[in-house]
Amino acid sequence: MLYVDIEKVLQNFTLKIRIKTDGVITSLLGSSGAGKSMTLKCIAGIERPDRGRIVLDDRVLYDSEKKINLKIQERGVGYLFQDYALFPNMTVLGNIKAGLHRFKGADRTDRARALIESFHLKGLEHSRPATLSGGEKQRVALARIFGSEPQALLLDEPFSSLDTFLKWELMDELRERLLGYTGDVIMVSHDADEVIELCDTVYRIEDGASGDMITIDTFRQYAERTRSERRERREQKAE
Amino acid sequence: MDLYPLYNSLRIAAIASVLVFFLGILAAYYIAKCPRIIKGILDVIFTLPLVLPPTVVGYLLLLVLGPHRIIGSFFYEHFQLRLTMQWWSAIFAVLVVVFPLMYRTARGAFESFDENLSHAGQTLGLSNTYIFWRIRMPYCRQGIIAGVVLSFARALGEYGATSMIAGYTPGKTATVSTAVYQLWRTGNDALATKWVLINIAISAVVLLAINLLERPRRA
Repeated sequence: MLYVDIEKVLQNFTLKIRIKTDGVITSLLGSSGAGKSMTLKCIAGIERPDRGRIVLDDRVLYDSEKKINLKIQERGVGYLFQDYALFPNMTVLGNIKAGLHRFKGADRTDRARALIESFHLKGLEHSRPATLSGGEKQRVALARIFGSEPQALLLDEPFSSLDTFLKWELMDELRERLLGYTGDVIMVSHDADEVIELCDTVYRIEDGASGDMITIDTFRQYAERTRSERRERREQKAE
Repeated sequence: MDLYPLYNSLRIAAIASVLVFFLGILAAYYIAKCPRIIKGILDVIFTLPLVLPPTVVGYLLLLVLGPHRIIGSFFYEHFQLRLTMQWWSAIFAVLVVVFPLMYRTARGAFESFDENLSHAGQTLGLSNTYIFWRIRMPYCRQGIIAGVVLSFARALGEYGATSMIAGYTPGKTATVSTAVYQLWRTGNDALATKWVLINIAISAVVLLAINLLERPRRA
């Protein structure tokens, strides 16, 4: 269970986010600059809200009243950055091993090998991130995050730096991956199709404020209704 | 030809470069995190030795390290140790004069760093120390190395502050730059020319090294 209720004054607006997710994949949907990424950064501890509360399962990550503000390293929240943020000076194996720093010796090597295998990265172990394709980079980044065994997973526009064809392929892959993950997942996106494809619930974010929770079925119906309305209007125009 | 000045210059520059490497990058790293006003003030203080005449730096150093001054008298009373007029006294002078070079190049290199890499490391649970040495430093390596080489070159050429705090004692505190001055003063043109040529050769090699380092990295 991930519960977020925070406020943060920003340059153009005040971020007011209230979301709750429990074992499902939740999406924050909104246009760019609406405060979606800032919300993820507050959950991960990279940015500090002005006030509010963030609770992950039975742990309080942030509470302005009780003056609790866990360090990023203590939060156990995995973060998939938009550009994947792979360490450029390390190989694929090095990047994955960096996520496995809590494990030592043979255990660490075995885990790294298992991740390489399961994320289809065989043969790329000794490549540098700069030589990888967009899809390969995403797989390395995900392998690195899953190796660190996070309690929650934050995905920041996971497909924005990919071309369209690759995007659909990787979306299938990510869905498979997330099926086996039991923690909470929050995905930030500005693309309704992506959200329908991957998520269970949706929060609309507009000008820094989160709306009510919408289930994906309601959202899909809504999206389809607007789509058919648009079609009708087009047809009327044609007549 | 007595090569002591060359040996002395090289060891002073080497020790000072190692020290300034750590001091410069730590200063650059922590100042970047300071609030803007403090950052501005510290930046001016740390860059000041770059534009001050070295004699002013030497004078200020004598004000604190001199045998009757605050730090100097402390070491003399407790350890019978004079901080000035030793071969290693020049390290103090060189350190202060060279520090702005290392500090500013390191700061420039750190500014080009993608902070998301640091955040990614933190969300993976990596310690800040690990991130600093294993991710940030390798990323900024080119700029940092250029800073060290530049500092080493400037350290070899330091004259003003060194001559004030270490003086010129042949076989003891003599460096290449102070030797050139002494040889010219005593009319020993032949030897002075030799040292001048050695000096030019070393500086040329160092600058060549910097140019090679500053070539754009292959992707």
